[in-house]
Amino acid sequence: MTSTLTRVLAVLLPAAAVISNSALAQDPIPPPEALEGAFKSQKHFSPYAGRNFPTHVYWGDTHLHTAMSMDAGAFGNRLGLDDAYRFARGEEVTAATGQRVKLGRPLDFLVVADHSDNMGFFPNLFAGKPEILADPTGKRWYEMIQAGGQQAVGAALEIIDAASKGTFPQSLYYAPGSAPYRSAWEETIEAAEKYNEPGEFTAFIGYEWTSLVPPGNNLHRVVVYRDGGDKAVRTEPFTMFRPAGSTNPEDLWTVLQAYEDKTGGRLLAIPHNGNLSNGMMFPLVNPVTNRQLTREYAETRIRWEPLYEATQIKGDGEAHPYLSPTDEFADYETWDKGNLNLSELKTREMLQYEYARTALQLGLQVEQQVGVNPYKFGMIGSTDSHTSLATAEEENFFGKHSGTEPDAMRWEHPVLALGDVTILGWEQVSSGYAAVWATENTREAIFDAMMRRETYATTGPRMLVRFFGGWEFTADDAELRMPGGVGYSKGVPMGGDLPVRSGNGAPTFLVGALKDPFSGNLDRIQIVKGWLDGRGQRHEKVYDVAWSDAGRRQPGPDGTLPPVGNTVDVANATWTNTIGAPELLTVWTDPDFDASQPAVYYARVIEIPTPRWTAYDALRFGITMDPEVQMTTQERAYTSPIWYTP
Amino acid sequence: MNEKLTRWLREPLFHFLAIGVALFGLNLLLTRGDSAAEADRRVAVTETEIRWLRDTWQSRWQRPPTERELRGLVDDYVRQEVLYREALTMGLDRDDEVIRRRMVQKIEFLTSDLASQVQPTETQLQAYFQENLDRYLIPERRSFAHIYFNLDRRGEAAVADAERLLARLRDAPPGSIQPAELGDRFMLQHEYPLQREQDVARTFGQRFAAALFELEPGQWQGPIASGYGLHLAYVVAAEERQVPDLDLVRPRVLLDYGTWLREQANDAMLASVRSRYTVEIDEAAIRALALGGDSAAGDR
Repeated sequence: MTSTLTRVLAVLLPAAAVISNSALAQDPIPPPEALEGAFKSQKHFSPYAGRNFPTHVYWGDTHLHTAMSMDAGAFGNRLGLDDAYRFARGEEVTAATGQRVKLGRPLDFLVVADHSDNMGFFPNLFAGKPEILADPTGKRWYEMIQAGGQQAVGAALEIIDAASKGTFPQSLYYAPGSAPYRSAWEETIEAAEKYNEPGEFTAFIGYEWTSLVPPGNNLHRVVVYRDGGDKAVRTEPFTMFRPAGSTNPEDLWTVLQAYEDKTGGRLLAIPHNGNLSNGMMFPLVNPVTNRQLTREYAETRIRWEPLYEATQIKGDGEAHPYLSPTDEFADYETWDKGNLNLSELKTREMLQYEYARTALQLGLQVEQQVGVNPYKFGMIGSTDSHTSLATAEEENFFGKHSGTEPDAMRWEHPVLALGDVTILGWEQVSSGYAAVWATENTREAIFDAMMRRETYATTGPRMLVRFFGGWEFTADDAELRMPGGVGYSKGVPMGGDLPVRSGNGAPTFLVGALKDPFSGNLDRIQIVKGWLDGRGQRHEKVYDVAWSDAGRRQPGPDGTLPPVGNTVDVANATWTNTIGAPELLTVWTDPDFDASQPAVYYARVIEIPTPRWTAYDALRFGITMDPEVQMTTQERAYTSPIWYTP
Repeated sequence: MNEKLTRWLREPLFHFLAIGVALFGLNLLLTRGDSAAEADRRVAVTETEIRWLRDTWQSRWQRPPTERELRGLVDDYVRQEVLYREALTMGLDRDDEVIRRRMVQKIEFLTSDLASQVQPTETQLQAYFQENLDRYLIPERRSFAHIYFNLDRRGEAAVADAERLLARLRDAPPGSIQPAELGDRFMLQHEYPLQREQDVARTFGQRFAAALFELEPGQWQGPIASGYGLHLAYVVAAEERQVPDLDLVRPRVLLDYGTWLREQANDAMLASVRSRYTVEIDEAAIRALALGGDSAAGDR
């Protein structure tokens, strides 16, 4: 028995030797101003420098989960806030499965958006805190998770299921106001403060309000703070479990307003995954009151929700083939089997209330009825990764959660399953990122750009996209050297409203895209128009406005542009940029314009085919996947729209 | 809790003392009988245990237990304790994945906790900073202008076009050149002030960035290739690589130091523990049981 003491000390002493001679904890040292980025230098030699419009796109992920999210933890993620930020800033970290991983290029900003319900629960469940083990369910979950592997995945599915069905044990719930919850939120804030470095990297304070309307309909929102920790710490995140929380978005907006009133701070909320909401994301009838949307609902929603997350790992949400049958690109990474836990299957009637393109048109309809458009949103993409790793690169995709990090089997394991309905690993989308046109890389500048919707979504690549609308753009403007300059001087950027109509003409759009130098060439730029006819009925049309290889590609008699071709060598996961164009730029005038009809326009940029992440997996693990598995992809960008109101 | 006490509690020495005292107490308790074996068969439910049972109950139910409830808790505790010890004696803890993981985790928590409580002294931080100086160097910065040639538009003629323009530019008087007006239109900027190589790489790709940082400043050169096409480039100013003062990068160094310390502490603990075991691995079995492909020779 006496040997126990010696043994324990022997184990700990080497560690102590490393730590020894260390001083006591000090107060954190304020960050020096001196590191503010190279871009802020006033020593321009360029005659074009000093312009007051944004000339730079900043790239980020507004939706990343760490081990602080209970489901992320349940899936085996042990990477916390530090790892998430270090990784986004371009450093190499060790993933939960032990693999070393690094981003091809660092990101400029990050919102760690851990679930507000049960925030911090998982690190404590994992540590086997006595109050958790005292509960029989808590104890069982603890044991399943300790066992790891598929057992842990089973626990995670159970936990998510319990949360989505509202059967999460009350005695286990980490509620706002409790000590462990408070400390989880403070940790979240501290980490953002620590890694936020104005000019170099922006770490937003944020969280995800994970509203699931039973039986499991996804109404999630990511809440983003413009403010620093001094304000954010004064209230706690809004949750969905009663009594403190609610699954009704209107209650979230009330809480956001209360925060701003109390602190003078600023917030915005970003909804995501309408595709898993089973018709509830963009309603015409408020499901809470069972009445048509009111003006107050519309005003409040658009006050808080200037953006929509249109693409992410759990499916692309721009368009659906059933809603857009003539759009050959509409069926892109579609997830339409049911709601978030597949407890309710999808019906066709639901689809129109789920996808961004149709929602933009629904917004015009509501505006006709109540005078305000609740769905006047811009677009961003993000990952919703639960691995603490913001990966959206096809050749570097670490999956939805730690159970789907790279291995030879991940393509065939279900990521969602209920009964015989399953969504398999290969169906995960290596997507997406948020692009923001901002004047500098700070919380304030990026947040303000989000509020004015000067943003676009991509499915991963970092192509540069410009989109301006006005009444006076001419073909010459597309030949100009500086399309940005003429864009701002003659029109409004993406996210804006067309100026009041002058003359009798149709609206004109200056649209351009420059490829991501690391990714595929560009196939085409399209403009997607949605409008209402004289009877208030919705319509949409997709126009090809600029495309590559114009010498050999012209629209056929039916107006369809031939495909760009395909250079992908699936077996070797390579492609060549011998087709497509590095840059496309044009001025387009709406040929079907009717000045009496409200309309909404956005640009969609499509790359040539490149290998999908599954092709890299097949090559690296030497495996053959089922024939139904997609092996190539055409990555894309969706800009925020520009609106016309008669 | 007041500041002084909190600081004191974070002191590693205190942790060791506390652990030591606790173990010593445990040791006394367990060896109080005539022999260790006898002590193993003795279950003492003292005020300490009862208080702990009471507090756990209270935190769950928001009230203290009644006497009957408390007796129930004690019975349960005794049942758990004797079965737990019996199970240990029977060796049921071995080969159980859940228990193994939990024990490993507890030992790792001990070192990580210690490491995370500690802030380095100025001398330690300085030493760490000097040792890892290359990570904190303020990299060289270059300002440059470039002229773009679109391969898609010009095809094979692009190289010749670029070279022809280059010859003209070499004779042009300084200040007479507007890069934005030459070559092909380019949606990004034509001039970039004070860029690090990594900044250029993010926009133009690694190959272009590396080439640009090899160029001799003060004249038009190229063409060099990027992900977009070909470029002529002119490096107009160079700011040498600088060694920063620690104060300038202190927050980053502190973050890195913390991460490093945690890893070191865990590694040192593992290495020390492992050195006290003789580990024998059946190499032949690994080769026999593994999926074919990479040979053992490749590991060397």
